[in-house]
Amino acid sequence: MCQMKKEDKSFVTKSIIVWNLHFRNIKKKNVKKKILRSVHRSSKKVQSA
Amino acid sequence: MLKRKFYDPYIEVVKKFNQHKVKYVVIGVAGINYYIDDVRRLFVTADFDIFVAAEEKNLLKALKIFKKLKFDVLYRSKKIKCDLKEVKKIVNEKGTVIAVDPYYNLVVELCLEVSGFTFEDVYSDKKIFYASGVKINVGKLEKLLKMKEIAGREKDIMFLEKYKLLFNK
Repeated sequence: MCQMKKEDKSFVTKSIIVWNLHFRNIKKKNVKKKILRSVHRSSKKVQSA
Repeated sequence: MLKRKFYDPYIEVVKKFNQHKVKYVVIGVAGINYYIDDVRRLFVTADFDIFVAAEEKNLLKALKIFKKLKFDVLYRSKKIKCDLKEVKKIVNEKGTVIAVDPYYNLVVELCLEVSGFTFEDVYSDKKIFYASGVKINVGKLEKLLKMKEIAGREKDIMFLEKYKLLFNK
């Protein structure tokens, strides 16, 4: 037998989407930071040499 | 504040499934989340698992919908065309099809088999929820939790421990 629940549950999938996109952004930012940091370090080495 | 229309690929898929009478039930953590009323207590998941009846006609309809919505459809990590020959193979193997939406690259998993229950077991006492006016078939909570218990993978055990702690069940 089916039971009905009528409240709007659109927040369930919206939350999944938002969280996944958010995590993806965090990941991207961290990768960018790592690349920038390594570039920065290597340029410093060149300067000091 | 600027109000934009939020595109929800999951709802689009379910809406089309309903229109084309695909026999399906949402399962897994996504299904369990429908039973939670407080948005702060939802479980984060990267999957949206849908259990579909392992019938050729049913799976073909489901896959055509994904194609129409421009999802990438993969079986055993390879893109498929979703023709009858492939559908027959998937039904025989009771495999899992992965569909990736073109907008956010989010994943929908189509399962033809789950731990401990047949499709009819899960479909017979499904619960119906509504999201943005769209009807969503969701497996009974007790059965969704039981599936995790039977599957018994590390992530399932961890999930059940967390669930018990949060909901005292």
